[in-house]
Amino acid sequence: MNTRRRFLQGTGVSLSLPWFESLVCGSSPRQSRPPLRAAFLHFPNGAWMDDWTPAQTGPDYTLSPILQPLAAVQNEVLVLTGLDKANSRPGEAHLASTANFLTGMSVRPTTGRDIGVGGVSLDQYLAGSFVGKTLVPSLVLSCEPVRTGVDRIVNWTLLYSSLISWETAERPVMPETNPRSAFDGLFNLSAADAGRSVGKQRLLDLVLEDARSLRPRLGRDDRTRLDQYLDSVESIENRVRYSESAIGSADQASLWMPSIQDRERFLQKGPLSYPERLRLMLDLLVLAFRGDATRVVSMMLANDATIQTFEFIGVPYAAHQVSHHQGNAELIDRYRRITIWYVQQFAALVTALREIPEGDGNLLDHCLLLFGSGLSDGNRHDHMNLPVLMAGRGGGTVPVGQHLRFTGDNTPLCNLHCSVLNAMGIPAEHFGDSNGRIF
Amino acid sequence: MVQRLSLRSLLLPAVMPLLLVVLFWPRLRAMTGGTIDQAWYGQHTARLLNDSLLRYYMLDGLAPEAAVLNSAGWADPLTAGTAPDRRAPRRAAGPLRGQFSVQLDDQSLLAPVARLEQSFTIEFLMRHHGQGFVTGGNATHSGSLISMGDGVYSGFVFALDFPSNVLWFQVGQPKPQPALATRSIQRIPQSVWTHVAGTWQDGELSLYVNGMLCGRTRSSLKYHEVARSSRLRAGYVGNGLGSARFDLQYLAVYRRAFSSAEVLAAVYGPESSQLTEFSELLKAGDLLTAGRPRRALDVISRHPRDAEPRILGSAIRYRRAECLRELGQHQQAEEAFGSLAWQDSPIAIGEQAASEQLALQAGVIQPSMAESDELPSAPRNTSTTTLTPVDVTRRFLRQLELRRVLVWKEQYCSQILPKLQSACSSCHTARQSFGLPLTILTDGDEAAFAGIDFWQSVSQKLDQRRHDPSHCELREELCQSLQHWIAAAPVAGLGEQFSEDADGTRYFDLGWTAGSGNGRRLTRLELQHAVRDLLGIELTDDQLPPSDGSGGEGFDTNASTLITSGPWLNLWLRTLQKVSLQFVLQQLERSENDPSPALFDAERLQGAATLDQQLALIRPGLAQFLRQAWRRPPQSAEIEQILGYFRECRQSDSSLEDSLAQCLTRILLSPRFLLVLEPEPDQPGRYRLDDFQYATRLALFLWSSIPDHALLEAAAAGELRSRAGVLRQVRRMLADSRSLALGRSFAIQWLGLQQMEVQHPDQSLYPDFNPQISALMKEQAARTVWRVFSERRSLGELLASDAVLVNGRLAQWYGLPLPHDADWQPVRITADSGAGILALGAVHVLTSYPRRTSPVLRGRWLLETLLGETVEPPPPGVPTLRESSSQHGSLKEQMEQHREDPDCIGCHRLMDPLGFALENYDPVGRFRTMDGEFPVDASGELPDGTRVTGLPGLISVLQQSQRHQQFVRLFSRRMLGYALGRELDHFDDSVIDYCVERLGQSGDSAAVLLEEISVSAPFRSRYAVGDGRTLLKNSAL
Repeated sequence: MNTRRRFLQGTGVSLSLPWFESLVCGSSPRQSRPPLRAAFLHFPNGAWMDDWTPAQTGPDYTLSPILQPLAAVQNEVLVLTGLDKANSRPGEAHLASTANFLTGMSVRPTTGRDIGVGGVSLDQYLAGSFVGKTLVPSLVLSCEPVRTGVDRIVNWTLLYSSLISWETAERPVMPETNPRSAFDGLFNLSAADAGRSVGKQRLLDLVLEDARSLRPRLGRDDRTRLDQYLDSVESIENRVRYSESAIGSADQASLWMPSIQDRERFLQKGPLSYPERLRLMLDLLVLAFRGDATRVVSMMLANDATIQTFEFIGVPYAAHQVSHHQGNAELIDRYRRITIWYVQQFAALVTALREIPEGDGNLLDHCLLLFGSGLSDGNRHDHMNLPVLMAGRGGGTVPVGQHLRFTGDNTPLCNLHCSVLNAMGIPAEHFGDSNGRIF
Repeated sequence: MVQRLSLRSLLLPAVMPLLLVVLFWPRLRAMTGGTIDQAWYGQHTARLLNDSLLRYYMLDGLAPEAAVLNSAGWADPLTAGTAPDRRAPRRAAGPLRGQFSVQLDDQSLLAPVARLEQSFTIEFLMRHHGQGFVTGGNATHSGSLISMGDGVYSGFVFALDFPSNVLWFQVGQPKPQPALATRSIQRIPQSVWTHVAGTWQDGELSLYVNGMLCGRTRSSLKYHEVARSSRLRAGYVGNGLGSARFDLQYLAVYRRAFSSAEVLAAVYGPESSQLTEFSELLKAGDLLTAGRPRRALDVISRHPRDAEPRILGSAIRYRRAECLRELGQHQQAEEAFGSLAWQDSPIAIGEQAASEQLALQAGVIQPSMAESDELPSAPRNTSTTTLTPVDVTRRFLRQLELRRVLVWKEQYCSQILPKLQSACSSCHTARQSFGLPLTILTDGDEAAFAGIDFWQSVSQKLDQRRHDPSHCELREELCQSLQHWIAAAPVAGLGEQFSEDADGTRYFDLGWTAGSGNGRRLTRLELQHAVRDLLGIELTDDQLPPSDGSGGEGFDTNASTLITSGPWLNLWLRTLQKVSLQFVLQQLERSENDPSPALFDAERLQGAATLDQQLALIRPGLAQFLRQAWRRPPQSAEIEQILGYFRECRQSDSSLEDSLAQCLTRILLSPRFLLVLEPEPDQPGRYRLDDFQYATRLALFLWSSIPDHALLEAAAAGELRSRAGVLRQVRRMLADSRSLALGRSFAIQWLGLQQMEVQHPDQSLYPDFNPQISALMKEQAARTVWRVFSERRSLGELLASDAVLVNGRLAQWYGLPLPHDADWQPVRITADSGAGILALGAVHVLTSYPRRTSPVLRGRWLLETLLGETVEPPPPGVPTLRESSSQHGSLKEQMEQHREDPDCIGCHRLMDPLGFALENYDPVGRFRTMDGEFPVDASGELPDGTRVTGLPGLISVLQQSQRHQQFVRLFSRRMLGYALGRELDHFDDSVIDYCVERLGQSGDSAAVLLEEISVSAPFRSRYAVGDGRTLLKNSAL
């Protein structure tokens, strides 16, 4: 065993590699420019649009009250007003509006038998092009455990309110909800495991054999379950293969590891409050981009219609309850404060990314961050004129530093998604129900 | 010398029938009144007064033990057979609305032998649904209906052949003579009430279907009496015959043979015998069954067709079409049947004609009854599609269903729609529809195809008096007519189910219920328990994969929402690697006198020098581990493969413990562990699960874990093939402490407490409340429900109990006298406080806002969780209540504004009073008599005027019979959905009906519910979809 392996084994180190100009890794040569990353963050229950929408458009606009926290990074942000999601039916509210945030098509009403959102979500579509290029093609995270139960009034499964990432029109990607496990999965290989990728592959081969021998004898429904298993094994195999080739060509001196403080923060035991968990998840996002463990991240900041209470900002009420303000000024104030808190968290993320130097500028310059909600007015469950904004120049593709307003009956949110696809290097004519592009 | 007859012997035969008529007059009247249809079905009086009646059984859905109306004086009742593991007779719908029948399959109804001589008549009214659970011997498909004796060597039998649906009547003969039989010349269509009569008169055997002669044969043979030990039987008889699934409404035995005229009159009514067409119909029948169709056609065509009287008209046209078919004139026969198809008639001749027409179109032609030189050879229909009898049946059933829906829809348009339009559209408008789809107020099609579930919910909402009489005057009348119409909905009969073609055409499948349990992944909790049971290690939150979504009836056992993703599996792999190493080290370091089971002999293993020795030492332990992890006996190839893997690891320099750990990881990473998959055979149909699959389902249901060794051994020994064996295991499992999973998994999800930790009562008002109390409350809820099951208590105790289950810490919170460190135990409470689910602190926390209680949330939770009634959210424009409770009057006073607004009152009059009754419990679950500065007023008035005060009052309202039934039914439904892991549809209603019935019989014992679900058909069988259409397979359950 060579010294490199032993070194890695000893320190239990990341098997992902940050992008460095001088590195050539495995089979695919690195580009001369830093790669672009995309992140999609969904906050729940919409926003009070009167205080979200800035009054002016164009590059010289004053930040609205809710967007105030973005003051320090205003020139890195693109505010978009008037984007719609026409395929969310008005009747079913949250469930019909969250799950299709990144697909734009209709959500199928069901208690579970035939879940579907009409198409692959934007992040998973992107992830498909990164298989083998990073440790994991995408990271799907959520700051709350998946919502269980069935909404009996409309007979929809509440699963829809916890998911925005769909790898096929009918199969979601279940989010990781524990920041520690997620960190462990990306960065913290135990010593015993580091040199063991050969053993791991053999293990995977054996269980694949099991699955393949089972498959022909199964009925249609059971095959679907087994196929999910097979695809999951395949994704682990991809990780193993990537790790092997990465280790094989890594230059010992240029390996990047999360700092000791990062590791300690993530490996601390004990229960986490909601804001602590959310902050850890955002930190994980930064580390994941920093170490190029992935280039696509989607994150639910909370389940839609969440019952999470916000006493930590002095609003000891459930967010969903508050979003049903019924026009009451006191409730609207609380609603506004909750949304401001989410914008603050996003502003912190943007700032953190900006502070990391990369290439000719910083990490933020090579990111496309999309922050928004599938609903606008949470009281009326309005799915038009959504609160959406972008941050990060995307390598120069995103026209940040302005407020764009779209008038007209229907400017699909998917126009933005289509623009993101093209910016990330996938030539797409349309996506979802798009009828054009934003940039 | 004339012997003097005693008065008694004279009077009895004369008086008895009259006595019975007098006794049962009200019932008879109810049966005989009405339209011509009802008149036909209500010939009971005439039968009872017939002096040759020997036995008469009217099966109005009553428990078969109580047979009704036996003219021999109750001496020979029909009782259900006692063969175990057979499908018990069930209540089914009868020919008329409100009437019932009994459905039989492989379990039969028995009565003592009836003494028959050389003339007798058997008459019955039945509706069949195809092949039952048992096919015939020699793989012939048949089903016996009525029999006495075996019908082969003595006695008689009526039976159906499948899938041709030909009926035959056979009289047994002792060897060496063959039995004498006659067959019907038509198919008996499925799902249609059919009158059958068979007569034996001195060697002449006749069979009548719907009053018309359809088979006759003569011989010199005699009728041979059956042994005394034999039985008159309705249902499965064995002897090489299979079972038919059929509904029986009445059965009559007469001690003489009816003439054709009498049988025809019995069906069409006595007045029909006055018509001239009557005798012509009889003559034509005789000729047709004698093999002379041309003569028969001449006889029947005597009258111009439009002159046919209504009563016999359809029968005459039917006979005519049959003659044409027998003559080989298929085109005309098809037209003749077609013109009669689906016509209304006193009996289902229209349906029968449709079935025959389809058969002709498909080229499935019955061989004619008798060979005759007159008949040309019948050419097959040369259409390109060759359909089988099954296809014909299927098509017929589809058309039947469509027809019923159309009729139902017409009824809607003519009777219901005008009323709805005038009454409803003033309040249910486009601006505020209150959840009612407005298209049903305009479009008959939309309404008819909205589905029965939708209309049942409409009916339920009307029933709940959401509509205040002062705002909706037509409520009563509308309610009634709507409910009549809904009751007439063409819901498929018991056990039938729909499938849909790709183009959306719906048709019947032959089979029991649509689904069975599904294959799926193990849930998070099940993985945790499985690792606990296999390795003795409790996985922590960080080691477990993220929690799962749920669906179906609202549980995470729902197969379709249990998704496996790459990160999920990767996390599991990492956990396994750590945990299996931990386990192996524990095993290797275990001491001599450690009582826990050892996987292998640690000392000898560590002392073993060669690899082969090591392999030999770990083989038995590994095989046993594999058996439990994969939940079935491992094949030797599988064991060899794992040992081979061990060898590989050792040979690549891994240590002993690492290699062992890798083997265990390989076993627990496999889909054979992680997924519950049940391979299906190629042929579609319903199949019994094999013993180990069944054991797995039982363990997942009752323990949320894998089967233990005792259960696997019981499965291996075949104990799970008998009902008694299964129940023995179920009872053992319920008594085991692992059944606490029912509380932690089922109960928590049912009550909606999964994410209780996220509820944070305001710290400034309730500083004592912390996450520990929250967790304890959740545990209390789990244990409270669990106790009802594990101690075999009544379901009613979920609502009304005399003790609260707490541990020391929680007792302190509630103010109950228990030492601080006491374990979980019941504490008796006084009559005026309460116990049961409604008194759980967890429920109170869940249904409150952070700073105050919410009667609305509590009422809504109660309605939804305990009674299954949903309430729509408020319309968006409605202003909310003020937040601080003590500003403008008490909370109750503020809520009175709900009563004033007509937009609000509909829903709030249901929820508010229920919530007020719980006002004594503050937002953190403690009992209170003051709310701020106002005394608590825990009283309210329900829509029907009942006053409810406090929790005891609320409990007594829920215990009232209708609501109690509703609760029991909903609970059974949820439990079934949890066990099966899928959503339920109204075809599962039959299982729920049965469970509710059994609960009623056993005093609502909760354990009985679990038992009945465990042995129910969908739970212990699997429905292989194949191409989606089925015949029932032989599955002797």
